[in-house]
Amino acid sequence: MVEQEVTIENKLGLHLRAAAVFIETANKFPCQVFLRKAGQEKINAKSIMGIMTLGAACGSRVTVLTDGENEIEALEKLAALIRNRFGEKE
Amino acid sequence: MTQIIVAAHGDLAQELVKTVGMIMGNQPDLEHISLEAHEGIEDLRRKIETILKPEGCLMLVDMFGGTPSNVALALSHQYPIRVLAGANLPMLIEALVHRALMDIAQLARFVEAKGKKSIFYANPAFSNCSCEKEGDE
Repeated sequence: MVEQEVTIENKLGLHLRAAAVFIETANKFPCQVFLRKAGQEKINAKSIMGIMTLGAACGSRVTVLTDGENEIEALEKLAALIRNRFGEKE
Repeated sequence: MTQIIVAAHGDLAQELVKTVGMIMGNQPDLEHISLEAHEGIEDLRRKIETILKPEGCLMLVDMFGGTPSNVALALSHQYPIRVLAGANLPMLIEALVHRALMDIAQLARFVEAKGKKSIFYANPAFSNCSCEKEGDE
C-alpha cells in the first residue's frame, strides 16, 4: 500500500463530475484505490457513492491510497488528477 | 462492451442518459427507451428489439412491475437481457464505469448492490446536521 496526501484545488471540490473522472481513471488500474479525508474512514474510491459521501470541498486535504498491482503508477496518476483540478479551469 | 439500455415511463430514461452524458461525456452503447402515455407492450417490445445488440444488454428500468420492467423481463426469456429495477443516477454511473470489467450477470449483481447503497436518509449520515439536534426522526 502506498499513499499520498493532496489538496482538492478545484472550486467545486470533489463534485459529481470530478468524481466520475476520478473513478474512470481509478478503474484503469487493477489495484484497489481508496480516499481518506482527515479524521474519517477511508472509502472505496472506485465507487461513485463512496467518493460522493466523502464530502471533500475545495481546500480539503485528502489522502489517496493504492494497494496492489500497479499501485505506484495509479497513485501518481490519481494524485496528479487531483492536483490538476480534474481538468477543470478553476 | 456491454450494452446498457435505460427504459422508463415518460422522459425519465432520456433524461437519465442525458444527465449522465453531462457528467461522463457521451457513452457508446448506451441507449434510452421511453414509454409514452399512448404506447403499450407491443410498442415497447419493438423499440427494445430494434436497438438490442445480439450479445445482450443490461437493462435499467424505472420500477419493478411497470410496463418497461414487464416487457424487459418477458424479452429476457428470448434474449440475453439482465434487468435491474429501480434505476437511478448512481446505478447508471456505476454500470458505465464497470461494464468493461465484468460480464453482464456480474455487472447486474454489482450495480444492484451499488444501487442499494446509494439510497439512505442523508441527514443522520452527517453528525453536524441541525435537524438531528432538533429531534427530527
